[in-house]
Amino acid sequence: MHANRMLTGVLRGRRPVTVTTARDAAGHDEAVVTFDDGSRMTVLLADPGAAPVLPADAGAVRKVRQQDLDLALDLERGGTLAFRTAEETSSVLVRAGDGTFEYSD
Amino acid sequence: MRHAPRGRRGRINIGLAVALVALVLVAGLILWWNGRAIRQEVARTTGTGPGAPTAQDTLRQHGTPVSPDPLQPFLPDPAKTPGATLPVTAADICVPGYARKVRNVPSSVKKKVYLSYGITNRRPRQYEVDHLISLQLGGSNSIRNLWPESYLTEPWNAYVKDALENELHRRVCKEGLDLATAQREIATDWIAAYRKYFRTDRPLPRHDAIGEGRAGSGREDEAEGLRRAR
Repeated sequence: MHANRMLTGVLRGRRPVTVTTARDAAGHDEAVVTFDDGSRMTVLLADPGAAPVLPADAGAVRKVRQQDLDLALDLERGGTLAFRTAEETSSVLVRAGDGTFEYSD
Repeated sequence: MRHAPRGRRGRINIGLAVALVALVLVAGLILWWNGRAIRQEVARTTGTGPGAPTAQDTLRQHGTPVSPDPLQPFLPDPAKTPGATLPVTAADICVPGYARKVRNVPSSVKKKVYLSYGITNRRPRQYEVDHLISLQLGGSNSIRNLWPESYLTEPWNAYVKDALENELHRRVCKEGLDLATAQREIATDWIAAYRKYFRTDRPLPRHDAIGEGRAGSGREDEAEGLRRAR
């Protein structure tokens, strides 16, 4: 998988706190990752309920990789949050704690 | 110093003239062939290729004369490119630098866009993979929002649509135009939206290849070169 430098730049150093699944207003299944700084990343999922389990004490995001429908957040202490996205593009969106738009693919 | 006899010099001059004429003929032939290749490619992708009838129908709706010229403008196929947006608001898109926070479309997705429109052979700067609903209007990188937009079609082309995108963004951010309305209008029929917001039936001269924000980029020069080659 290729490095996603742009998203790595946004998320590096943020520690994921929770991963939940939800359904957005348009009926798409999505995973919602909240980070320790209050920011949130939503990922539109290829399959309902296919959000990963957050490894315990996994540390902050070290690197993000993405290719085709696969998205992976590599964490500092060795774990990875892996997602299967609904589309190759337009599936990931990040907002800061105050709601400011930070990133979309 | 010895001088060549007058007869010999004359033969040399005639030979040079013949070579010059031959050179001009060959150059002309190359230019003609180049233009023919472009016409054939555009005809294949716009006039007779998959999805083209939709554009023809739309053009008839516009009252634009539909000529046998395959270089007439073409529009996105609504079945392939209905438009798609991100969950963003006017407050998001009106922040300077917003569009730079959206990742570039991967080349793998661009290839899929060209293939979906039956374009397998293209020249540099003949098309761009355009966001039907532009990023600055909250459009997304979904393949449902991407289409191969021509720089070469007349009078409607990528440069003209760029001007509309800038105008709609300005109206949303400066004049309170409803974002959803702007998105819907540009996705439904961008030519009609251009005519509405610029109050003109034809593109304004400043919106053609050397229009807003294009001068000096080199893109307009290449596109103009290809047009002239037609």
